Amino acid sequence: MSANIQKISVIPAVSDPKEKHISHQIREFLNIKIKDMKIVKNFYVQGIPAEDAGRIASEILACPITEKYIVNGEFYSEYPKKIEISFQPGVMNPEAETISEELKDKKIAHEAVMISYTYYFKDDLSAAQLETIRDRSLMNAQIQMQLLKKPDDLTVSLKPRKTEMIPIRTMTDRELMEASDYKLFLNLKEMKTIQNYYKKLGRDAYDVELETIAQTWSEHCGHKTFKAKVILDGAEKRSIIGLVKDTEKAIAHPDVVSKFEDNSGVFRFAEADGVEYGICIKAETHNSPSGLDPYGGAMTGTGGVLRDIAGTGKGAKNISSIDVFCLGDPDMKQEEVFPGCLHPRRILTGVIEGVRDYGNRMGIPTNNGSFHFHKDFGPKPTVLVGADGIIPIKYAKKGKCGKGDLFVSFGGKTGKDGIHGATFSSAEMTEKTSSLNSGAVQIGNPIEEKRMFDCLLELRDMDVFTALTDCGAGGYSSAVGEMGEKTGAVVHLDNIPLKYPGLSSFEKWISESQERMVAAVPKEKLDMIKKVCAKYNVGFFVLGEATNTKKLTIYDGGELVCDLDMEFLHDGQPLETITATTKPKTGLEDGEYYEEEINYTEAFKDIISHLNVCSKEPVIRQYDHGVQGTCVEGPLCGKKNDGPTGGCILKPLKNSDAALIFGHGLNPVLNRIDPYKGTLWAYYEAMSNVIALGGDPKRIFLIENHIWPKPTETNLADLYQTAVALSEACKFFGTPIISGKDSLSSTYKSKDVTIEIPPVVCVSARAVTDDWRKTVSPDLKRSGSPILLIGDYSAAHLGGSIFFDRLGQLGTRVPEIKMQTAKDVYELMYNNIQNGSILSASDVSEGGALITLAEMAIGGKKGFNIHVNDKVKTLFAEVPAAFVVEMKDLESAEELVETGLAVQIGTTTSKYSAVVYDFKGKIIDIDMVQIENCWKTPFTKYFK
Amino acid sequence: MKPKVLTIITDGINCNAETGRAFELAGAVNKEVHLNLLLDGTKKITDYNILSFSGGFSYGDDVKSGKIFSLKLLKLKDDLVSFLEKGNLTIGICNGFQVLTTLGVIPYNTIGEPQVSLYWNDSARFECRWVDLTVPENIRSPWLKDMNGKKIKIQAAHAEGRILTRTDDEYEKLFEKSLVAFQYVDPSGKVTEEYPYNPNGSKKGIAGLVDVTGNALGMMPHPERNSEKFQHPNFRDTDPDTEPDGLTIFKNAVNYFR
Repeated sequence: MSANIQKISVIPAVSDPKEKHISHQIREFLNIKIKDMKIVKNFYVQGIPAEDAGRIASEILACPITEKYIVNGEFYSEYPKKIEISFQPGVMNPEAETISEELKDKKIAHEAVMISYTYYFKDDLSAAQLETIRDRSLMNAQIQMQLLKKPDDLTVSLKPRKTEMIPIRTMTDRELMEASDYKLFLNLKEMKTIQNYYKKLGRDAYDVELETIAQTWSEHCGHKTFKAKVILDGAEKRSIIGLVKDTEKAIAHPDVVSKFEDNSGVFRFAEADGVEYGICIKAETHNSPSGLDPYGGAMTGTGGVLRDIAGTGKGAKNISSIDVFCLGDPDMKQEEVFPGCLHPRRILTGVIEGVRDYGNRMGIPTNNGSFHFHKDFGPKPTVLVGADGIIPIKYAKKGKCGKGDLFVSFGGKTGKDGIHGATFSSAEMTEKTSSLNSGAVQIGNPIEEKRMFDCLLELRDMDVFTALTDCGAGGYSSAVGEMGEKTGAVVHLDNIPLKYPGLSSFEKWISESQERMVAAVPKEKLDMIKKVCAKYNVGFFVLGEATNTKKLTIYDGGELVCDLDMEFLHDGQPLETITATTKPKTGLEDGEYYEEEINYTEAFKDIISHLNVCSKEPVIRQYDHGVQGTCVEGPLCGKKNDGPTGGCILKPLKNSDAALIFGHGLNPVLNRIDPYKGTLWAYYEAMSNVIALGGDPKRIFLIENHIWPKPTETNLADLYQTAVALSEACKFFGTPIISGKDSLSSTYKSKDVTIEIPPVVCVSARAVTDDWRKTVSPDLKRSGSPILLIGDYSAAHLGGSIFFDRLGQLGTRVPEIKMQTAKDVYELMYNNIQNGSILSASDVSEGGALITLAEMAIGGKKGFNIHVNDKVKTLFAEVPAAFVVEMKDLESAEELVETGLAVQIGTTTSKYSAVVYDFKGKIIDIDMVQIENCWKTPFTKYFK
Repeated sequence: MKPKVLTIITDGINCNAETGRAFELAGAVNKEVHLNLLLDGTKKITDYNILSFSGGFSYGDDVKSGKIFSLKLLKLKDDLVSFLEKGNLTIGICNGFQVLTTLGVIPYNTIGEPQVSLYWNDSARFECRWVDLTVPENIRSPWLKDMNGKKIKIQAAHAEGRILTRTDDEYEKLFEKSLVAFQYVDPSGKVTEEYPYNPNGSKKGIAGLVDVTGNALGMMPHPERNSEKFQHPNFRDTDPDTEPDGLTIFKNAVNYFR
């Protein structure tokens, strides 16, 4: 066969910036001093004669101005060493698909297209060095492979496997668990419940059925821990989901349209052109795939959450993408990286590239996010992706399916991708995970998703859909399972277009191939779908239809492969009881410091250059934050657009002045000290973020995400405390949580060690304000303005602060504030932004008030003179619900001071310097250019 | 007359809505038409006054940015030629600029034979940032009426924005023939090759070009992202009565048909 595979190699005719970039990475981080490396891109086209290859190269593949090509030859053959890398067969390569489609368009018959890159080295590298370069820089063995010779056959086909009958009725407990391990990820109680179901039915189980049950009951889809009965320290408590529901009931916010019932939560936003619009919000993790393949994991995570928004109600338009990363130490030694894990620096750059390449190509601005580094995130990173959408309220709710409604699938084809993604993500990671579950990793195709979204929005506006949902974890199984839950559904798997032949029935059914969505539509709408899909180049087919049998019935090739009761599938899961035991935190010591020994200037410089504080501009610039033209305040602000904004502000409707303000909060390390107070801190951080920019405290809507180590009794007690904290705060402030997701598996286990992540509670906030003009940004605006510190510093503890971290300490007391005081502060902020008294504002966050003020100064290119008494706490305590603000004049400043909630600490200056006095004299006097450098430099090295 | 704008959309185009909005604010009638409807003859390019190629990642920027889209547009070559010959206006922003150069419309109207290429940024990656541009004194184009010598602020957001020609002489010719529409400038106002003021490393700071007639404009930065007051990164500090820099460009096109 190899005779008709033509290889076309392309190189730039000019110097290649990618060579420079990769060479730098290899020299800098792998410490291999290569001098000369070249990259060649190879296109293999199967099924064309050699004489066509030249034409394809010159017409399609190579740019006549900037590139050169060679057919079936080799550039740089004189270079002694080379490594050629391609994707593994079956891994989605969007570019190869584009080329194949273009060849079809040009009527050039061919069988397959594959792309590889060859890296040539002039340096005579040892085999070990080459291997290091391959494994730690160029290739990810999860999805890629090294090509040692020209491939023989580029087409993929698998040996089809027949649907199996599993003799579940006669299995022993041990056999049940063997059947579950690394495939179903169900516990014994659940396996026995399933066994009993089949005993009653009097038959064995089809593998498709067990896979369907496992997917539906997985922690990822079923949230079993959140639904479980809780025994906390011996006393029965409300389930976590119960707590959430009680909270909602108590708040009953009039603007909430839907919460926890759809793919995202929806709240009322504004009216424009006579139409009432809502905003959809959602955030979820994609930790396990991102740990294995950061690029593909972050990409598909982003693609998935965007589909959640697109699949809300009858379809929403995505207006924003956000991402939060908790990662290990990017400077850790390679020898210390745990088996089966990638180096945190690779995870860092990989996830950023994944979010960038998906979000930018989708045309969805990525304008809010954050990074949190802690060594214990090394083996199990937290990758949280979120998205917002806008939707006319009339389409915000799904309709009910009726018998005969068709389930129509849109978008990409189905392959073996991500089999067991839903169940796998609920399992803890072990050394084995990376070798056993490679099916869980895949690459996304944003262009497929973008055209599908455009097509679906046009169909929505023609009122075609009864309901629309995405194919996420669990694929068709979850999409159809949910839509047909109340009616029943019949599905024909042989209708599914496959990427390559040979998928078994259960694989077609639970495959998590990306970029697919399913709608329920009345039969007569099919013609409209056909027309619009053709216009947008979007594939579609009828997967099945709604019935009235209340059963999930699946056929493949005319054979029955699944016949399950919907009731058992959705309500049959045994309720778990979780036993939680509060244990006092051990091993914590209160931090110690001696004021007289502190060099405040050095502390200032160290803290502002801490990885959790420093500028993330090198990342922000890679994300398109201006697309859609809706950005009022982006992630960077100020004169030179280089100060941090904290949150961001969008104006999503062209004919309405209403603005949507974004913020979020998390501080995982605080939860190690005190999960209750740490959670409140995260809550305040999210609230303060949006209030600092001008958000109305009465119109704030939240998302909660918990990313937890594996649920041991103590971890569960901690988790319960966070749920209680959130519930209390939300009731007190009247802020509904309308969406959320949990991931309770962030524990790494190997033979020798167990590592739990610092538990993450991430609270995301969206605030509404009617007029974008009545918002503020954090950059200092004028010189000579009064600077106020607003908030309550009576419990300004330093536990978990960067100040303590710098001293190698953690501390025992998390900073806190009384809820009523925080409420008063928030009201004060809102009123004074509305009336124009506040010129700029930012909330005190990681690093403390001095860092906040310095960041405001960097944005505005102004300096400051301040006076402090309780130096360490005022400058460095990370007090929740506290703000640094610049007032327009002394009079308005005095008014605020009179409330007792604010103190004037100084004034802004035209001289770009930071000057701090205590009662004895100057303790800091430094040029802000120096501080700016400290803040800007640390992150740049990873992105050169 | 309100000119009719044809915004062509296809796989991966994603700045169409805001670009259309900017045209509407400028006083034009904007129509979004999918490429497939032009290819199958349902709609005709020649029925419009302004042809707008907006930004995005057409066909994923696969192979090379703008390449696949331009291959498909070659099928509409006759319509394109007669559209251009009528003296109509064309704009390509970001990916649209990449399409118009790859197609050969900019700079020499040699459709099917590209003369200029937009290659990878020096930084080897996508960059989104506000940049300052100047309009050279000698350029004449309806899009840039009365803008010569002016400085404008616009957001750039691209990975492949560095102008390349086959030879240095060909590069010089772009200046000799007054085809350079925009150049990146540093804070002192001087044309610059210095990062980050010039985000991609284009020699002599070229950020945009026109075709030989001046009627087709291509530019990497996005004028539609500075066509409303709230979009300006320092709107809190700017005079509320100044017209957004980007809007001027769209208005010039609309006024050309008045």
